[in-house]
Amino acid sequence: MNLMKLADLYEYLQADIQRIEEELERSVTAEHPILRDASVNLLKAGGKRIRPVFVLLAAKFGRYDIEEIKHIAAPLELIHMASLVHDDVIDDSTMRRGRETVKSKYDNKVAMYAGDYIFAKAVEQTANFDDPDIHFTISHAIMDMCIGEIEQIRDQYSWEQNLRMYLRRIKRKTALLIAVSCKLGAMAAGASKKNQRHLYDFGYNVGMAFQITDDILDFEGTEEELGKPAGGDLWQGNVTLPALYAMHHDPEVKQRVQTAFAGTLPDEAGLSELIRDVNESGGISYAKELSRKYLAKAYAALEELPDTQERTSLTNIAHYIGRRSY
Amino acid sequence: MKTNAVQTMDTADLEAEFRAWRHHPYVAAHITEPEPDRDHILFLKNIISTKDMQVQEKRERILSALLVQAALDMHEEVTLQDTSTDEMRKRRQLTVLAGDYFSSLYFYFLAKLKDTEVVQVFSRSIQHINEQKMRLHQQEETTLNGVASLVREIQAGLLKNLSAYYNQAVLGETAEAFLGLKKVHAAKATYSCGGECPLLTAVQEAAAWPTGDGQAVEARLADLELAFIEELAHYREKAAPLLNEDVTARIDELIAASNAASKG
Repeated sequence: MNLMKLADLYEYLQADIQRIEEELERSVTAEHPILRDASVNLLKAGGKRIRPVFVLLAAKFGRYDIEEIKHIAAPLELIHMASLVHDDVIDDSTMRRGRETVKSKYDNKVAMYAGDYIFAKAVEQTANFDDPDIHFTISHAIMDMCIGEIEQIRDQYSWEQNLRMYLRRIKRKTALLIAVSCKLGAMAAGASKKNQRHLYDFGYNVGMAFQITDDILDFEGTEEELGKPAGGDLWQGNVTLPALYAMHHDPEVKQRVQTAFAGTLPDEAGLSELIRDVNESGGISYAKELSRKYLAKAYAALEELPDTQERTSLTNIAHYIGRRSY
Repeated sequence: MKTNAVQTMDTADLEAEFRAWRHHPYVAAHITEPEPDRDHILFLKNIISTKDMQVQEKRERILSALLVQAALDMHEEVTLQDTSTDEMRKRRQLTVLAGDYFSSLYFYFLAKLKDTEVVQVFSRSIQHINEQKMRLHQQEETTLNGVASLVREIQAGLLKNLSAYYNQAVLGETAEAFLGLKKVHAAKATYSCGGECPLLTAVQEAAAWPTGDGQAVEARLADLELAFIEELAHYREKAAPLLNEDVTARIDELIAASNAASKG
């Protein structure tokens, strides 16, 4: 995703985004130098900060006070950071966003301690809100996300999956935290229950479209564009929508996939053949159509909200997600 | 992952509810799910026993603390070594994720408490524990006293802070000595099996032996054990008016077992 282009869509929030950034920097000041370095490194690696942006935009539909809202926007990003540092242990990753991962720079233990430390920081920050519904909403979402990750491991290299399983997985993996970011921004700003619901629906549908698009790009992109080999999801045994559709609609494709993964993992040529099979099956077209349907639902949710600059920003972000290439 | 309908302060009920919450069939098929630490439960029950709150509120505080411990313990199981088989890789992945799931559960239980001050006590304690874990991992303490201090804070940091929050600080100090002694026992057992753990490594560093002499390790562990026994005996007397029967009995058992082992 092109950071500059996306950031242009909410440039007028830049001062408040900077306020969140300062809050994040203040949050990760651990006493132990390695713990501090690991946390600061994660922070400096940047990222799109899309969750805090959703929090801020949603909060504009209520009584917006950045000094209040930051106590939701920052912890959501911290929770995301904590999950990334642990994900790098799970995936045995050495690089993330062009930087050496914590587990690679130090070791697995440091990565575990850093993630747990950052998560506890996030919990502490949310305690700035007395509203138990806010705590419930975040904690419940994180529980669901963890279960989703466990089930993703369970479902790896399992070729007997269905659409419902895939949708539930991407909801937990991506859509939930975006939906909750939108809802929490609205909750923290005291927006009406009705608008909280519309914003949640918007976030959920945009999140689903975003993940489906991500899954499409994994098949359509080149290694140069993706920064990793194409078809990486399939190679890792993660059955995403294009492959799922291909296997469901063409038993021969399913058979070829099963054969390819029966012993050792397929080599580059073998994987390329499977990618071609998926492309030719109509799996990409089907996934694009489903992504468009989710985006349409996201726009419909926005239509229920007051016509403001923030609604326009959310609409533009949804457009951007629909158009994005790499 | 379901709640137990029974709402009592019975230790077995609390253990059952913990097991029900922490269970995931796929995780259980690949890794050993953590067992509730009965001693933690006994201390926690003691710490909040006099507080004026509903049984359910007390249970949720205890379960939150047990889940924190489970999360920290589970992540302690993540090893430094590379994984060489698919099953080993899967076990590591699930160990990380199970710990994260327990973290999400403790957050969920804390949310149910609707008590932001207690949330702060929990979250700051966890931050501090991870700071101390880093210091132990990096072998920064060069004296046995320093190592003992880290062990206290890692093993009982949350209990200590909770007891201070509930104006029962001496119970937290007793828990530090008790859980510290238990940790030394565990390290001794690990050592006798030829295993490794952060405490053993730290003791080795603190002993600063050049030759890796096995007897020196045992002697340093024995010194550490003795220090914790004396500390526990001290708090056994100091905290006596506040200690309930169950905790007192466990302290006596542990001291007796330690003395018997050192004589043996």
